[in-house]
Amino acid sequence: MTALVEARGLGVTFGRSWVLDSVDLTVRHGDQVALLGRSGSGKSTLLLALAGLLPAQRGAVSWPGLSADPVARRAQLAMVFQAPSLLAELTAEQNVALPLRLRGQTQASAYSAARRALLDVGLADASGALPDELSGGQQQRVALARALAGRPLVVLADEPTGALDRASGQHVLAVLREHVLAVGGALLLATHDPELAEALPGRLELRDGRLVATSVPVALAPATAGTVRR
Amino acid sequence: MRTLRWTLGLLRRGPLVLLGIALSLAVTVGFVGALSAFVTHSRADLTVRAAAQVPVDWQVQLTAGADPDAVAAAVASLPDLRARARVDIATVPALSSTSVAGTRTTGAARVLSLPPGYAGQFPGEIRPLVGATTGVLLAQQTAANLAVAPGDSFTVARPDGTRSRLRVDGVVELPAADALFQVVGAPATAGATAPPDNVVLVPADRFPTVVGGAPVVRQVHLGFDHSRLPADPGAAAALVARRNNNLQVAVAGGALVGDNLHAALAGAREDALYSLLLVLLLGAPAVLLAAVVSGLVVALRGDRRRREVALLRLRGAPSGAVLRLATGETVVTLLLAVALGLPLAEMSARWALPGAAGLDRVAVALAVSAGLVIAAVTQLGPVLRTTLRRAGTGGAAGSVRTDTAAATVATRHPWPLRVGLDLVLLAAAGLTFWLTSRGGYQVVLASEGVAKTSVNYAALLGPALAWPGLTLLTWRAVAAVLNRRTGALSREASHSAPELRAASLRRRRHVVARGATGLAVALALAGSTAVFTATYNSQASLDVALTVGSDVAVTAPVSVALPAGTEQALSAAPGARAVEAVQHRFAYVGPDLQDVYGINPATIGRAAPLLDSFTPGSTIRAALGALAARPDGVLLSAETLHDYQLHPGDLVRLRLQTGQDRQYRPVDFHVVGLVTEFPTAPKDSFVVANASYLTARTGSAAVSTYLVSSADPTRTAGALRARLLGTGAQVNDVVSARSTVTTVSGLAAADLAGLSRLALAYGLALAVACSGLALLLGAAQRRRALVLLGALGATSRQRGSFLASEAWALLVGGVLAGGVIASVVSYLLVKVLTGIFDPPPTGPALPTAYLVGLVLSVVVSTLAAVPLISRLAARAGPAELRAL
Repeated sequence: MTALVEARGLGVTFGRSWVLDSVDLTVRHGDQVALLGRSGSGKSTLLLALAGLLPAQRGAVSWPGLSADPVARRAQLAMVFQAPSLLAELTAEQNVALPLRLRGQTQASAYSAARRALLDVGLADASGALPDELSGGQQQRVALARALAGRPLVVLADEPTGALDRASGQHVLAVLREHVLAVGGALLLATHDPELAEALPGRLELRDGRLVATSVPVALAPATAGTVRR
Repeated sequence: MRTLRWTLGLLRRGPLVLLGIALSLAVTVGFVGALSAFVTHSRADLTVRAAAQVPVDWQVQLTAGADPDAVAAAVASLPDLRARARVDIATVPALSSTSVAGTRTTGAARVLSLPPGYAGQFPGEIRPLVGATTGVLLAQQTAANLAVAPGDSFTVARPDGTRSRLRVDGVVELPAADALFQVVGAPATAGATAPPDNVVLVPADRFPTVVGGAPVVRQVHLGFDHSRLPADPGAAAALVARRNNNLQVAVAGGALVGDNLHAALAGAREDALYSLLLVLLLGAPAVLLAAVVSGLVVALRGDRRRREVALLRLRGAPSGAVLRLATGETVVTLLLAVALGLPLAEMSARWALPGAAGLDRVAVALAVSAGLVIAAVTQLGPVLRTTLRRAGTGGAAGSVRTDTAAATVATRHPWPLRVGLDLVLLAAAGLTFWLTSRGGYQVVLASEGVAKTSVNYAALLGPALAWPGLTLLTWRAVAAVLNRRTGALSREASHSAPELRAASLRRRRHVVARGATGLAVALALAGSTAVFTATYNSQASLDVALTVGSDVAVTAPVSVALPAGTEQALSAAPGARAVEAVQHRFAYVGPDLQDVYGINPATIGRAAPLLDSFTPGSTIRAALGALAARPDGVLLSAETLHDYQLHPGDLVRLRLQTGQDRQYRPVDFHVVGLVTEFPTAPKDSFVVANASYLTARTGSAAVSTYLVSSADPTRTAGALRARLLGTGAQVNDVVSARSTVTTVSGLAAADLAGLSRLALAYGLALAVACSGLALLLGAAQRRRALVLLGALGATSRQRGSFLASEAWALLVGGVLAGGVIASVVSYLLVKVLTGIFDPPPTGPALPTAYLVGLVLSVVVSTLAAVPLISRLAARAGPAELRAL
């Protein structure tokens, strides 16, 4: 399977300390990997760097399986942030349609995709609601719908279930996995919840900015597992 | 200690924000300091100018039977005495002169004995016109009555019937004759007495022989060192009054004091009231604007502050501890603001008023107090509100929500709009204005003949209520428009998601309306200040021009004929454009002696400043046309028309002074209209007539004043002074008069210009800062949303388009509403403060260049700020991205 995202010798600093240090990582088609680690271990930073949102001070991130055009690549790679991060003045439907409209999709197709995504996350009835009219769990599902509405190949999810109860968390995870399977893409999900990590076939662990352990993928062939070189 | 650590931490983590807050406070401190320095300077200036106008400070008149030595000793012990001279005054039955034309005899005359050096000791008392400056001097009116000139002789008739023959050495003017011949000791309510027509000044050694046995009034004229007077006119007047009381006690009834200095200083004290009102009107809006700017800057870190307060409370910090931390931060910014603001105040004061002294203690105290109040209101106020609210809602739990990219958007009007306060305030403003207009806009109550002046502050309620009413209405209107018409502001462009920008704008309409309202207030404050200042300046310049008569005026003494061909010489002066001759005569209207001006109504407008406001109920063109159409026509003052029940078309018989023997003879005129102001004319009653008619009926075509319109008044006046040197003619010009002629407010025009410069410069800077800050505040509040847009794939241009929609809404709403508010407030101010203008304006003057510059500056700074702010605000660091 071709690599979708690769990090080679990746190093990111905040101030004087290295938050990520010499990380090598390849994400391939079909990967569903939990990224474990304590708070401050560098999970969020790694996802942001892999998404191309955070520049690396050392090493490089490349996207061999994605488009070379940055705008097109944005459509192929989606981030689910730790907090819902919705625009307060837009409805749920508008929030979901926002990235599609920014990429130039027509109103008709963008809102059609948005409604479909909201249906997928079980919020078809809440499409006209403003974020502050929704619960925290509903907001997180809207954020999930926003990430998946463009049908990305790679989903980088940063503690997407952190603020949810167990049932909601399971539902969000299920939606994410279904999506990855449907598009034949990859999921890298940062969490500090071992139970949630157990639900995914692959696991990586970050400790003080370094990838220190990997687990052999349970459900997938070795070639599709997250590969770590140190 | 904890407070210190917290404050040092803030300085380390966010020095720029704290510096920004300190800078905005420094502007307030600087402006208030400069304004206070201006008030101090203008008061000192009022004192200096009032005192300088008094040639003789005190006229100490010995009472009958007084011991001259005791009075002299008491006078000599007075502090700060600069000059002292004994002046005797006698009244003789008549003066007479004989020439080939016959003998002229005057009525009773005053003879003054002047000691050697008197003119040097009291330089303003005697102004030499022609001939020698010592010896026997005649007042110009007396010389005219006797038809004598230097070298001629005249006779003084003594009470015992004998005569003394004197030779005229010179002719002089007595500019302060009213005070010189006052009835010393008359009650203050007695009113002024007319100075005598006939006055002879003789050296002290010749006085006894000249007046013979005539009764003599003995006076001691005193001059004090004015530099020792307190700067404040009120304090100076009080000091002089106490000094007078002290002398009265010392001489125990042996002398009465004609206290000219106190009278002048008391007048200046009342002028200070006008000037304070003017300073308040021009300065208070700018202080308010500075406070708004400070509030905006402080609000830039409002969200962070709220989070900090919430976290502190969450960790168990009591309200007192939170407030102490906020107080420490406030004190640091205030200290920085004072350190920056006081030098700014010093520089501003020196720039606006080059002659002004630096900041005094009062100015420093006021500036620091203003900074303290604004810092407390803008910095401590929100913390206090947040702390109290959280205390009232049971703690901080759940308050640190970060689940949306922006704070919850306000979807309701603020409470003042919900209860319709804007409409209530506007209705109250309209009612107050209507009541004030019914009373003739009497904001400054200075009744004719009454010394006391007061300010009717209630009359200012109209504009004062209109301000908040219009401000709230702006908020309501902008929010309403954005709720309905956002589509037009979010034009379709590729990949710009216009419907989302429109939706965002519509839901953020209250936030945008608040920014637009702030900008409107800033523009309206600067604009209305500019309009008011321009109107005041325009009227003050007109007042100076009216006092002088034209750009340049050449005035001939009554007794002196200007050389033949003067008009041609004036026309040929460099810069001169037109020359108009004005005859000046006197006439009795009933028992009142009034000035009569003979003009050519067809051409007077070429050289004289004329306005429609001079002829209420008509235009100046129509009034002069009516005068030209009727050779025996006269324009009379409103007071004369009212007092004598006269109407246009009525016959009026005036006793006019004729040319040959200067006797008053009845001459028939017909009333053609009303005139309230005229160049060179006094402010009360006067008569304007056709010069040709006056010449025919008085037998004299003598011209008293030539009005010269000039492109370069200074140059023209300089040339004319050189040309007319030694003729006794006086040449005045508007440029040099502008620095000395005082306005109704008591301020010299030069001071007023300084005040205007100060208010307008700060107004412009603050309005521009306000617009930029409103935008910056909006961007700061949306920082997280902009970072999110970037993370979702929005380009810099797309992010900018979200901000640009708001910027346009803010700009269009702010500029339009600012224009409306400025127009309404300017109109109300100019109307309500009609009494402060002299002459009253026909309407507000528009400082077009300033207003255009103001709007352009705001528009350019806003438009330039959009891309910059969007780039900076969306610059996502690791912390911002991880916070998503």
